[in-house]
Parts: sequence; structure tokens; C-alpha cells
Amino acid sequence: MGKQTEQRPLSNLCISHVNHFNRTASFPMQSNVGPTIMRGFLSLPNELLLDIIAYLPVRTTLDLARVNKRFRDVTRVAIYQAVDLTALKKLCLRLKLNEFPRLRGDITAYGYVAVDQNGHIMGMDYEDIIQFPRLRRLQLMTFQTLLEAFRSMAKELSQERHDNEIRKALRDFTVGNFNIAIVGQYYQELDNEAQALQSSASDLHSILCEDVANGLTEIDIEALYSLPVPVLFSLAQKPRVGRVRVSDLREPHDSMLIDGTSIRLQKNKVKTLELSGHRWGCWGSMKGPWFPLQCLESLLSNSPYLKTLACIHLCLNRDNLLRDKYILDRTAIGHALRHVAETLKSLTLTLPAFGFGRRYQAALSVPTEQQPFPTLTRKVTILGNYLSFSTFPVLTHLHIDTAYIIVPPESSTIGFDPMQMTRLFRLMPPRLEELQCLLPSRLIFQPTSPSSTISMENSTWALPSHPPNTTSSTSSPPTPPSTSLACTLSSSPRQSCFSSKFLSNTANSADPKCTPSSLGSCLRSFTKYIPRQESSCSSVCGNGTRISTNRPAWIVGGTLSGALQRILSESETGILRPSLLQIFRFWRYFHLRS
Amino acid sequence: MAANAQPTDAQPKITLVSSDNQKILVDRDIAERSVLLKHMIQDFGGETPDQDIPIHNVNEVVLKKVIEWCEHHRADPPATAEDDSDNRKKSTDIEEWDQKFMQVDQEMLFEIILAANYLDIKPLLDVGCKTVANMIKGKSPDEIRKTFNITNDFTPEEEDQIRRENEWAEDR
Repeated sequence: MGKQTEQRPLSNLCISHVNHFNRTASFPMQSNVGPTIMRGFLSLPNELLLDIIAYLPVRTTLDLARVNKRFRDVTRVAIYQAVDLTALKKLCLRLKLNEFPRLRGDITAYGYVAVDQNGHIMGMDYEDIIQFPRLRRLQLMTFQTLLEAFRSMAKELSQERHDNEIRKALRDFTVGNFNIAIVGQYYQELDNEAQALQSSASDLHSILCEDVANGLTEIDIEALYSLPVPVLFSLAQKPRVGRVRVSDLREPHDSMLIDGTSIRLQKNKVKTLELSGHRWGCWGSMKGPWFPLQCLESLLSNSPYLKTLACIHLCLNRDNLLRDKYILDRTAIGHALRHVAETLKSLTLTLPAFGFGRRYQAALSVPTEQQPFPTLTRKVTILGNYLSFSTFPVLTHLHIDTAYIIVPPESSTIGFDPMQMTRLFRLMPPRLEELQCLLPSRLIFQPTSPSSTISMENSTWALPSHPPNTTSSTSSPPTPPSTSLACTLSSSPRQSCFSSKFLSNTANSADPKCTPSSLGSCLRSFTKYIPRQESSCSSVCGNGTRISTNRPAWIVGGTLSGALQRILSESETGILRPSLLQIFRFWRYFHLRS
Repeated sequence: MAANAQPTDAQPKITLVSSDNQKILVDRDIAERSVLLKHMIQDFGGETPDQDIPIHNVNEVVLKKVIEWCEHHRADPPATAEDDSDNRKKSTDIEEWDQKFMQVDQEMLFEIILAANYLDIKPLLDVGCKTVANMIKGKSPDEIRKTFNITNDFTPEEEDQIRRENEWAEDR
């Protein structure tokens, strides 16, 4: 007791330690209780139940969940530190038998794999499991354990020479990491073309991570294409650099995903590249700004297939761009495009639906002298609404052939403001050759008079004689509006040659509420920025009929999403041709209704 | 591995007081198998305390049982980080001596587990959890209920629901 001064009463020490151990905080204090008072299984705190569950195989744990509610709740959040491989093998065999339509997999940052009640395996961070009650049903197991199970299953099947079954199972799995492991280990025996997939999972991961960043220099993309099974390369392991997915290449619209980047293949030749990565934003903080596009640049510069790209769709969602202090790296876009500029026939940019906030506009700065955008002579299409255009000043430095404006649908909280449009056109790229509007499908916008030479001041404005009607737009040719719906860009050849049948049976319905002067001033401001030139194109009716015309007469039918799809799929030919007049009708329609 | 080292008179002694106020004299090195007691002693300046140490949450019977285990394992090496890894937990193998030690009634078994948890004796806690896990393994929900005298508080609808949730792992 030489250090008497440092001593504290033992009773205090004891209490101090009891409090220190949180696990025992709920431990019932039972001073002076007799030795006969004992407690049962359910007296164990959850932490101890989890400790016990950790020693149980999956199947038994699930049985335990059916014992009573408390065990059910505990097992739902149980983390399986140990998983019975036998149970997993059974799961795999069930998958082999295609009892589940799809098995998705990923590895979490914590090394766990989550399996939901439907057998779906998905990547999930532990925090997500805890945070979202919906996900508490997910059962977690270690990735390595599951990997071993898949390997074991594949090995058994391979030994039994059930090649077709393996192929089928692999196709059904589409489990990123596991497919790599299985394919890498066993597919080589089945298909010598898969030379790129010889590595084990971990090796291949690192190779892929590096190679995607460096342009797939080590991965033979041709070998990937030749695989008869879908392969999902998941690069979700840190660093998350991308995901390459080759779905069934025998399908007409095959695709390769680079974590949201979709490359459409046709007969093993890349035709269209779509970038719509919903996870791009996540990468911003990890790999610097706009890594996926840097990745794209590497892909484009190294892949002989990608160099022959005919069309690129860049779908830029606001969430993707703005999350985690994300900024759009225009130079990466520019560099990426430069690699395909020779063969690229069209570029489509889908802009954020509601534009960028003011604070982000500065980030979307214009190119500098040192790093200018490439001047593409090919078709460049911009798809967005007027807000996204007006807050995307970088576009003013692109040579844009066609800009599609998505007019807000009726339900949108964003009204159609002509003044906004005026500002928009001031911001539009100076070399814009064609401005097209994508209109909500429920509204019928009908072509205008062929002899539209009425000046704005003298024009009368009328709504279509019939209220907008989806049915009519999709089932019958549109009814022409009044000939007094005169046209605005009178000198433009665009308004000059509608079929006469469109001119016959629409009543005039001048609208006193809408003064020509106000609209006219607006329109004049528009026309200052609209180039007027011949643009031969065709239009699509609601029923899918294409109407060839030598000027923009278009009727947008179907749903808005369907129209968007058409825009995307037919951007090369530029079929949809709304006009400014239709925009005004649209605006006026809402104006009158309100 | 367990050792059969015997306490010597030279060993400093510590007096533990159980929740039912029974004093138990133990060698210090045995007491220090408990991380809780070890830290308490360290907080005491490293000297062997001459005061009784109250163990409020463990009664005499259970405490003696725990001490018995600690005496048998007094020479075991301290747990390392590797012992806490997943590899350790994959196995439910239990040493023969520990198996016999755990052949007690269920109430005592859970008391030992709770005491090991309270006293922070990780190896003993693992043995207890493994023992319970082995008791559960291979049993149906009904058998588990019977084994541990647990009431089924599920409604039939809830039972169906959880069965559906876990269907993916069912044998076919």
C-alpha cells in the first residue's frame, strides 16, 4: 500500500467500471440476491445473443428467428461472422436452378455481403443496414465466405462437367465480384477466349481498377465481348473506380456498364455510349473531379471499339454533379470527346432537369484558352429544360447542332415563362443551328399555316379548337389549327410547307387575353437568336407514324418519357421538331387555364 | 491451453465479495483473468488491494464456478487480436475440459455467460456462447423453444411472414 494516496474506495472503483462497460449497463443489479435466483436464455442482452448467433450457421439462425419475436428482431440485425458454407452452397444450387430471377452482389466497404429475403445479394454498408429499417431484413455475411461458397459450387459443377449449367448459373448470377471469381477460375476451362479472366477475384479487381483508369490496357475487351455469358465486373472495392458490365452480348441491345456508363453494342461493335452514372457523384471525393469521364477518356483512347463510337449520350443529373462538392470537369468531357471526334456522328447531353443552383454556376465555367472544348463538326444535341440551359453556360462554347428543350409538363411546378425563354436564348450557343422543344405528350400541338407570313403585331393567337387530348394524339392524325395561328418566324422556310390537309378544319379562336404585342415582343427577342435555315427532317405522330417533311412539323405523342426515349434513340436523324410557336401555344394554354 | 499450475502461498490474494455477500479469496493472477478486475487493480496503483472487491452482479455459486474456470486456465496466454478475428468464431469446437465444465443446468450456463460478460473474461464468454450455439444447432424452432422453455409469441400471420422472409435458405 505504498501508494495510499492514489487509492480510492473499492466500491467506487467497482461502480466506475460497471459504468464503463456499456454492454453491462442494462445488467440488472442484484445485490444481496440469493444464489437460487437464476436467469434464462432470454435474460441475455442482445449483444450476447448476437455473440451466440455468430456461431450459428445461416439456416439455424433463420430458424432461431422463428422462435419468438425477440430472436427475430435480433437475427434481423445479426452480422454473420461465420457462415455455414453448406447453407450457402444450397443457396448457390438454388440459384443454379434459376429459382431466383436475379442475384445481385457487391462487396461493401466493410467486407460484408447483404442478402435479402428474396435471395438478392447486394452491397450495403453496415450503416445503411442500421439506418434504414427497410433493410434490416438483410442478412449479412462476409464476402469471403460467400466467395468461397460460389467457388465451391462452381468447382463442383465444373468437376461434373455440367458446362451448360455453369453457363446458365453464371448468366443468372450476374454477381459482380463472384462472377469474376468464378469466371476467372473456371471459365478458362470452358472457353479459352476468356484470357482476360484468368486471375483470381482479388487480383482481377486490382487489375481492373487499374486498367479501367488506364484504359483497359490489360483487359482484352474483345475477350469480354466473346464471352457467351453476362459478366459483371464490379470494381466496388476501394477505390471505387468503375463497373464494367457486359450483359448478354447476343441480345440486340447489348450494353456494357462502367458503373453507370452504358455502352450499347451491336454485333460486337460499339454504336452508342450512354453515360448516366448515378454513382458518379460518389466518386468525386475519391478520385477527383469527374473521374468517370476521365475513365471514359481512357476507354475511348484505348479501345478500338469505342473509337468507332457513333453516338454519345451524356446524361448529367444534378444529383450526380452536385453531390459531394462535385463539379463538372469540362476538360475531361472535352478530352473524352476528342478521342471520338472523328467518328462521332452525334453527341447528346441530357442536362439536369432543373438546372444548377447559382453557387454551382461558377464551377461550370467556360473553357479557357489553354483548354478549349473541341469543336465538333458532328451533330451535337442538347437535351434539357430551359432552366438547365440557362444555368449551363459552358454549353455556349460548344458547337451545338440541335438543342432540345423539355417543356415542363402540366404538373410541373416550374411554369413556362417566356421571359425565361428569352434569357435562355440569349444564353444559347451562338452556333446553334436548330432549337427543338420536347413537349408534353398530353398536349396536342398542331402545325401552323403553310403561308405563315403574318407579322407579330397583326397576328391573332388561338388555341387549338379542341382541348389537348392524348387519345387523339396517339390514334389519329392531328387536327390542324386555325390558319390564323400565324406563324412567327415567317421568313423561315420552316413554316412554309405543311400539307394542306392540316389547314382545313380548325376553327379560329382568337384569345383576347393574350395580346399579340406582348407575345410579339417576346417572340422578336427570341427570333434574334434563332438561326433560320432549311432543316429537312421528319416528324413523328403519336401513333408512331413518321411524316416526312422539309420543315419542322411535329407532333409529340405518347408519354414524355417515351418521347425522351425517342429523342435519345433517334437523335442521329433528328426527328422530333417542335417549334417556337408550339412553345407559345403551350405557354398560352396554361396561361389561359390559370 | 489450460494449465494445472497450483496457487502458491507466495501469490498475493484478493478477496472478492459476491452479490450475496459471500467472501471468496483468490490468487491475484486468477482474478486478473477478468479484465474488469485487472483494470480495477491497476487503478488501485498496481498494488494488491487489501480491501474486499465487491462483485455486485455475480452470486457466490456462479462466482465460484467462474473462479474454477479461471484457475484451470490461469496459465493460458492472454487473448490476442487474432483471437477476436472471424477465424476464431468460425469454429464451435470446445476443449474437452471446458465441455465438461459447461455441463451444468441452463440457468447456471446463462449465469456463467452473464458473469463472464460482466467480468470481461472473453475466453469464458466464448466458451459459453459456443455451448449455447451447439445447443441450438440442428434444432427446429419448436425444438429450440422446448429446449430453452421459450414461449412462441408469434401470431400465425407473423410466422408465415418470417417464414417467407427466410424462404431463400430453405432446403428444397
